[in-house]
This record gives sequence, C-alpha cells and structure tokens, in this order.
Amino acid sequence: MSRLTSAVLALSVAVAALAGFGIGSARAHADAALVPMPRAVDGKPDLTGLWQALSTAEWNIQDHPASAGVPAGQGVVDGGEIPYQEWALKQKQENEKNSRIPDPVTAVTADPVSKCYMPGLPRATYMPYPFEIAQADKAVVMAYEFARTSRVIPTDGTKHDEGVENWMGDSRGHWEGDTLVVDVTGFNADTWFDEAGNFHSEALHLVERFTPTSRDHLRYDVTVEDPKVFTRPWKMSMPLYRRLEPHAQLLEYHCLEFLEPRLYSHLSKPAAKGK
Amino acid sequence: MKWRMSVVAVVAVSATLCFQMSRSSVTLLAAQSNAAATLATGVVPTSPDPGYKLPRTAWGHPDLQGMWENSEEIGIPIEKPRGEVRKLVTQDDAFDEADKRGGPTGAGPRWWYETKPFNGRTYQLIDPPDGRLPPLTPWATEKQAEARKNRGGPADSYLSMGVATRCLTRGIPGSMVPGYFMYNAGYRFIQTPTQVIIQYEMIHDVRIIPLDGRPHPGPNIRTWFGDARGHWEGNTLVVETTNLNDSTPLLGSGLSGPGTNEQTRVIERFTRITDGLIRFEATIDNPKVFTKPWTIAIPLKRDDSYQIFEYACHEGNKGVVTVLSGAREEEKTEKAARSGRPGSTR
Repeated sequence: MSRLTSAVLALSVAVAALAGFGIGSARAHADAALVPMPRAVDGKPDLTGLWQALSTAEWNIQDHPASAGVPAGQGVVDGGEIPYQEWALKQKQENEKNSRIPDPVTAVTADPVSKCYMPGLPRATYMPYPFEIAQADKAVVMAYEFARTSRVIPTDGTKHDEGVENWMGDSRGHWEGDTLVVDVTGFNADTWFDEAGNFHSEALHLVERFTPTSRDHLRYDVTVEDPKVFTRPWKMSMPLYRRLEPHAQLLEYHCLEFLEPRLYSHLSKPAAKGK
Repeated sequence: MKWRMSVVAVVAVSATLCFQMSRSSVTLLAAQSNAAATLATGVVPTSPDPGYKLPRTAWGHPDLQGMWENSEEIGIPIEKPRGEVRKLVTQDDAFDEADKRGGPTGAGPRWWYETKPFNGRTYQLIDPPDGRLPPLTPWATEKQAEARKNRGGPADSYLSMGVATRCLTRGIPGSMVPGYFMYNAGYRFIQTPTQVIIQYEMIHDVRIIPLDGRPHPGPNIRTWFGDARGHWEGNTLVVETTNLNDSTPLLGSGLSGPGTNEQTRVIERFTRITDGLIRFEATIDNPKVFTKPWTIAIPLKRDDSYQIFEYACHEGNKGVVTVLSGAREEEKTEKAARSGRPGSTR
C-alpha cells in the first residue's frame, strides 16, 4: 500500500468515525428534544431545578493531564488558548505554581477557594457541587452548594450598580428568545477561574448564556472580557446537567466549617481545641 | 388584650375618616397606624386591619415580594428583662445595652452601624406569656453548666467565639432576628408558584423554600441552615425547618446555651398585616433543650429603598485571627515579664 493510499484510508476511517459520531450525537439530541424544557407562566423556559457541571473545569479550564487528585480533562475554552497579555501569562504561571504550595500551618494555597472564599464567576457554576435555580418573573435566583454562595439576578431591566466590587459580581439578566443572558460586572480581582491559576482583574465583564437544549440539559456559554488581563474577549462553553435522582435537592457544603480548625487551631489554647 | 382591641378600633376609625382619600393614602395611613401600635404597645399586630386588601400574586398566593427590614429591632432582647424594663428609643440606648452585655466580639466603632429610630419594644417572646423562656431540661442544664465550666476566656480559642463572629451563620430563625448585630437587617422576598425565596443580607444567605410538600431528607443530613418546607395556611406562609446540626445557635448570639439538635423544629410564620408590615413569628420546638416550645414575634417593615449588598463576611474577617493572635502575644509578653522578674507577684 502506498503511503498516499494508507493516508487516504486512514482519513476515510476518520471521516466515517466522525460521521458515525455525528449521527449518534444527532440521534441523542433528537431523543432529548422529545422532552423540551417546561415553560414558566410567562412563556419563558423554566430553568427551575438542581443543576451541575460534569467537566473538570474546576481544576483547569484548559486541556490537562491527570495529576495527584486531579482528573485529566479536556478544556472548556473555545480554541483552547486563553489570550493573556504577556505580563498576565507570567502571573498565571506564578499562580499555578503557588496553587500547589500549601501553607505549612493552614494548608491553604494561593487559590482563593482553598480559603473557602466565594468562588466568583463563572467558577461557581462548574465547581463539582450542584446549584439550584429558582425562576421568578422579575429575578432568577442561583444558590450554590459550595460555601453557601448565591446570587439574585434581577431580570426586570434594572442596570448594574456602579463602583461596587463583589466576589460574585453584579448580575443582571434578560431573555433572548429561550436563552437566559446574564451580564455580570462589578467584580473584585480576588477570584480565579480554576485551581490552575487562571485569573482576571476587577475589570472582568462576563456575558453568560444559559440555553436549554432539552428538559435536562443547559448549554452554558460564557464570554470573558477583561482588557486589563487579556488581549481580546474569549469564550468557554460546557453543558450543565439536571440532577435527576429522586428527591435531589440542594444541600450544604459549608467549606469554612472544615477549614476553621486548620486556620485557627494554632492560635488557640490547646485546652479549648476541638469540639 | 383590652388595649390590643382598642388599637384595632383606632385604626378602623382612622381608615373610616380617610375614606374620601385615595386608596394609597388610606393604605399608607393604615400602615402608619399599625406601626404606631407597634411602637406604643410593643405588640406586633396579629391580623390585618379590617378592609385591608391583601395583594396577591398572579397565581393567588399572598404577595410578600420585595424588600423588608427590621433594624428597629436591633438590641431588643428575646426575653422580658428582669427588674426595670428599659425601652430602647435611640441608637445610643441600644449601644449602651450592647456594651453592658459585653457586645459582640470584634464589634467596630459606633459609626459602623445602621441608624434607625427604634420601635420602643422591650422584648420579643410572646409565648410563654410571662415573657421568660421555659425552663431548660435536665440534660440542657447539665450541658450548659459544663459549657460554662469549659468556656475559658473569650480569646482562648476560636471555639470560644460565636458562630456569627466566625462568619458561619446566624442560624434559623436567628438570621431574621437582629439581636445585637447592628447592621444588615434586610431581607428580600421572591415568590414563584412552587417556592418562596428569602435573601438575607447578613452573611449573604439565601433560602429557596419549596412549597410542594416534598419530604425532608434523611435524619443523617444535618446542616447549619436546616431543611425548610413551606406551605400557606390561609394568608400565612408557614415554614417548617428541621435537619439542623448540633452547632447552630437558635438566635444568633442572642441566646446562650445549647442550641439546635436532631430534635429541633423551627416553625416560622409570615403574615402580611399591611402594605408596610409583615408579622414574623417563630416557634422553637426543641424538646431536648426546653421543657416547652416557645414563640417570638417581630415586625418586618417594608423598605423599597433598602438595597442588599454582598456581605463577604468570612472573606473580610480579620477579627478571629487578630483577636486570637493578639491574646497569644499578650500571654507571651506576660510570661516573659514574669520570668524576667522572679518574685514578681504578677
């Protein structure tokens, strides 16, 4: 077999495999489409329920091999690369290094989430904990299991608060067809996108899009804009899954409760330590 | 009981006199009358004024949505104070009272705090009617004595500090009881046909309370905020919370002693009395600790101008570390001083 022939053969196998995948995937979508997202009284898709990402974005939003305690994963960044400015790429690498160095006393790292701080956005969405959506006519509420974080997203046309920095930003929502679009500004510079040190400044501006693709699936697309850190806006995208277990409900991961002994025991008198 | 009746009568007369006024003015006046009643008697009205037209959602539930606050309850104790009852009227009265009781650890200067005229109420308990908490069970009495013995100094350990000081929670129903927390007494209510959502400014807490009668999770799932289930009884929203952990104080730091446990049930009742007032009642059924259930009632006032900001409590909490490290440093200095001067009486 000539080199060319084998190359052509390999290509056609690949094309067939891709086509097969395509058909399978189209069928899966067709099945799912049989059960569309229910509608709220106002006709909008009703996103009420318990949702969770199944990506490895919490550990690293980009492609990464496995490491101790970290599952390997394919990135959620469109095109794979994050367009960091030169200084910012260095900062990101520094962050990543420091996120692997636990403090000798408290074991916290440079990652703000290791201190049980509110994870910010979009990280709260794809941490490996569920979050609950409640949808009212003038607001959408998102309550996250991790660290009892939450946000109330007005959908009543009100504008952003100016000049206030927040860990979870200031969210304002509106509907574009069946997509809930959430515009978020008003961040502080203290949260990261993942454990790998991907970061932003207080100039972060997110546009999140929650699009139902079936009753039990949302597509979550985020446009990330931060002229102080990136050379251009970039996007990440992933599915969110409805938790379907009977009686599935939001519980509580009160991170601080488990961190306190590490944070404060060395400053406490031994006799009073422990519960 | 007699004066409560007469308050209703006065309100009715005022409403009649204002019959010619626009509906909104009447409503406003009614709200003010009730607020005045609260101020004058310390009693949170139990039912709407005659003729009050309760606003309803599109699906027919009483409409509680919007911003509410109860900063006028700051500094008001749960129990009827023994001896002379002092009415808290000005902000300084409340500060004085808080100072007298030691104040919350890490409390800031007075200008930190939100100022509102106080409503003049003197305590929150409505049952038992004598205004005092029911006696503790023998188990709780023993636990409390044990806790007092082992408590040590206020800066010995993070565990000697309140869970709210540590930014964990103010608990249920404590998150809606200002106690000696001098700010952030604002709450947003949001409703859907199947849920009531309450957002608390303090420690950025949110509860999504289902109304569909689903069962509580199993008894081994225990949390700081518990597991809430709501339903409407007439025009009153009733929320039952169970599955509370063993660590949550019942009312922030307003009540010392053993708190929640696996047997604790908290029943909250929200009744809209006027456009400007919700009566909030909480019954604590905690048979392991108290020999009888007890109930508090407090007002929530409408305040559309109130804005909830993100209260990043733990993220900004320098208090616990500085109090502890300061105390350890002080001990070291004292120890050095003692060893440096043998025979010193210190």
